[in-house]
Amino acid sequence: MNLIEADGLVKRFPATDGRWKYAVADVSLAVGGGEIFGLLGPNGAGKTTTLRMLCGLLTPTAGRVRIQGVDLTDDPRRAKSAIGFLTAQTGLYHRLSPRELLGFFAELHNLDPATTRRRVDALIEWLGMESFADLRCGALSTGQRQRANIARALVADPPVLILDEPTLGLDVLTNRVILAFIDHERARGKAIVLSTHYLDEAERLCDRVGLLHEGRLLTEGTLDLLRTTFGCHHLTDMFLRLAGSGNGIALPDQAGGRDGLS
Amino acid sequence: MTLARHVRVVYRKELIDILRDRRTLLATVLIPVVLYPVLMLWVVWASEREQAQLEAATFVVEVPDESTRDALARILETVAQQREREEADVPATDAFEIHVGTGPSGVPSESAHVAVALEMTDHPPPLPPAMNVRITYSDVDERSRAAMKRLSGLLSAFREILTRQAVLALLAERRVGGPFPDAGAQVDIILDPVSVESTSTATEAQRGGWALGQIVPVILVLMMLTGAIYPAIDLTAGERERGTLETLMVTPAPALHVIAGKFLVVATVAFLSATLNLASVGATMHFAGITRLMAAEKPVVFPLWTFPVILACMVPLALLFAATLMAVCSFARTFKEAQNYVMPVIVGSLVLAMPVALPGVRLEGPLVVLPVGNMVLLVRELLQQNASVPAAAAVVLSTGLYAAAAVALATRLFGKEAVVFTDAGSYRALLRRRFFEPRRYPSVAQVLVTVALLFPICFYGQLSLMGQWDRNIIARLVWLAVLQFGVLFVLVPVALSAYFKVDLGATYRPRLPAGRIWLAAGSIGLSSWALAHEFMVLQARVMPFSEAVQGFLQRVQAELLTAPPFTVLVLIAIVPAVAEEILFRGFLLSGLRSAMGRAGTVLTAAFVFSLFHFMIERVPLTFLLGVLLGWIVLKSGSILPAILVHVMHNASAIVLARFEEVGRWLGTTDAMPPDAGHLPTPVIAATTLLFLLGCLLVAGTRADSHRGS
Repeated sequence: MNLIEADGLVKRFPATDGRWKYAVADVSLAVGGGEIFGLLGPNGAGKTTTLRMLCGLLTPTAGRVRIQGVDLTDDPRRAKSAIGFLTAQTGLYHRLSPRELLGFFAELHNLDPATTRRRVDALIEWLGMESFADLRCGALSTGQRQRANIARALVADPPVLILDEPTLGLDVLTNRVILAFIDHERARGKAIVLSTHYLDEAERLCDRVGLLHEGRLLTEGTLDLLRTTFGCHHLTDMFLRLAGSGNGIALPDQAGGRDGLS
Repeated sequence: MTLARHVRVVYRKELIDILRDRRTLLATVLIPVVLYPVLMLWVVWASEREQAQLEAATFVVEVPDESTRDALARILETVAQQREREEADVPATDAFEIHVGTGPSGVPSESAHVAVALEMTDHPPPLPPAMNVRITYSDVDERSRAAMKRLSGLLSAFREILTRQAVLALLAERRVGGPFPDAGAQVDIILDPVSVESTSTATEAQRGGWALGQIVPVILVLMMLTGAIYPAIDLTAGERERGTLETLMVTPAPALHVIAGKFLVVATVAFLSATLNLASVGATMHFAGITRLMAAEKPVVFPLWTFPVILACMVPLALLFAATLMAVCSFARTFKEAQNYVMPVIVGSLVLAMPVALPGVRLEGPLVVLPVGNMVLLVRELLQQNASVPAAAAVVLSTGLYAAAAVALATRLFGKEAVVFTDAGSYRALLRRRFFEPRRYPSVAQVLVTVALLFPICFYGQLSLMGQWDRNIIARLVWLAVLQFGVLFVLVPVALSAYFKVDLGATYRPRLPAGRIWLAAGSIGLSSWALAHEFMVLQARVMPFSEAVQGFLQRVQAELLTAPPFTVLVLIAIVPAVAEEILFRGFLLSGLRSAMGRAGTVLTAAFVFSLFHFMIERVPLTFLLGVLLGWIVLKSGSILPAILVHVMHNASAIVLARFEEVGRWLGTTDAMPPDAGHLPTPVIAATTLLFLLGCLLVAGTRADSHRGS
């Protein structure tokens, strides 16, 4: 069963010139348990907007998102309780300790006190946070903060993880922690959507990737399928070919889709 | 040289940078240039108005008996004649109204400013009579003090007149210089025929409260605001700047719950800050002897027991400040930006709070609903222990209404995507119609902010319009019908609904209901007047109408009896009923329904409806009427039966007042609720049955199940 299903997602924003701007024009995807779906694309392609719609931070202008079969717009509480969300920019409450922070988010996820304690202790042990679990977050190093952040995203043990460029701007060591965590969660059967700029990261982690360009998912599939389709081995080459001229594969009809929406 | 050059280069770059920041310009240039002149003009205007009011005021002097009244009247007349002859330096005498009725204690009653007792000993001419005048006043009441001063001035003018007359008489008899018995005592009588002794009735606690009241209220209100600023910024813009807002919004907790928690923290901090400030400023002023110094070294007592009452009354203000600040800070991306956005709130509060803090300004008239300013005045009157319950209730309730609107606005903004993610489009677009999605009902924030803005406007309008007694009642009512009911109650909400792309049919529900609903509305409309009458009779036992309200209502009633009946019916029964239903049971009710349950919607709309009647005495009954009408609208899915009930309810009062025989038989004429008796039992029984029948018919209909989109 697909844990994440997105169907015909569209998101438009009011632009300063008084017109509608389409950040996402047409995105559909489905991700099953134990699978990592990579969302790739240049800046402004609509990756962040798509991920925000997948985790309920933005309401789609059109289209639907279902998490574990629950519609995110109709029953946001149930759907959101199955989602963990992480970006490289997400901050922490500087005046709380990681332990207090985890307790706070566990309570917002409606975990009972006993489960919260068990879960927080387990995460602190697993992520090696014992030495700084009771210091204030403001005093932690970047690596320690990112571990606390991973723990925050995992505190309710959500079956779905939405990761928006989780390694952007992080050093090599912290990067490794994050990548190990993603691998580990896939092994535990979670459905993961990951957006990234780093193609090598996508190649290493993703079971399937989707290439996003100007708010549309131009193509998606397993890496092997894409390699056959594009006739090149590296994602970098595929991406350059796509972004360059659009030849090589059949692109969706851009004009029809957009006019129908505006 | 390098040092100078580097300093110059850095200085120039930073100056350009700072001057290009529009917000810096606003804070450093615009505010000082605009704020202080505005504030000063406002203060000067208010103080001149206050002065003019004092000068034009008629002071009520209470005397124990008729002989004192006559003696005092003669004194005033003598001074007035003198004034006519000489014009200069003689105080005006026409500002006094003398009432007989001081009790044996010599303390003036509530309606009088001062009490005067007079002892007079006659002497054989040419000696003037010796007079001993005792003035009892309150030195914590500006008007009483002004009356005392004015009267003392008059009496000393009178003393001079007597002395002058005696000296003239002596000269005429050429007895000056000649030996005559008891010369010393007679000279004393001539030189000082009138001795004035003034005693203040103010207690030591009132004096202490009065001194505190000169300084504490403004500090308290402004410190409450200051206390709320930092947490409001930290919990909104600060959260966004730290990147924690997204993590919060992605949890299963709805945005409404998150903001409610945050909002309560800000309000709590504001409230704690006010509490500490009140305690600290109060104690400092008292124990450093400042209050005593201000009370002209008279003994003072620290009125500690007023503090809990003051703090309880300030709760809605803490909510108002918290919600306003959070709404404003929600727009800011960073802490620094939020600090700039907060500036107008601070300036606005200063402008509202400062001018009313002038001594002598009382909590009355339009000031009762002036946001922030009314709380400054209430705190002062509570400290001085001369606050009236209706005025205090009006301040607390109106501040509560403003707070509710601000809370609804803050809630709505907090969840907005454009506000959560600054990259998700410009938030200027929040007000552009082009970007509005069509909705079934207006939002809670839209309706509450609209009624909160209408509230003081209607209050000022009604007060200034209905107080023009010299104008024809019909002319005043027509103005009221056009401005308040036509423009504010109908045009504004309908135009806003259209602008917000709201479904007008769903919001205003103008559909024809089933026949049984018409029957129900007719029964209720025919019978509600009797239940209302009984309710008012019972209410009057617990909460009698104040003299002022009673006088006002009687005066209006008397005027209405002279006007053409059909016109009165249109202006008093039909127009207000239709307009009020459109605003309260159309716009407001539908907006509330978009986010609240049925009971909450009906009760909230009824409460706001009752506040708009501007008299605390009318709040309970109009609230119940509002509940009834709201229930009918939601049950029947139509506004029309509510309009019918409302028109009939209003009309029955007019009809009863017109047809005296019916009224007399029912016992409703010539008597406002405090004096009016119960209706005859058969009438009560019949109307109650009719009313219940109507309610049963309404209850039997299938309820409106629509919730907003």
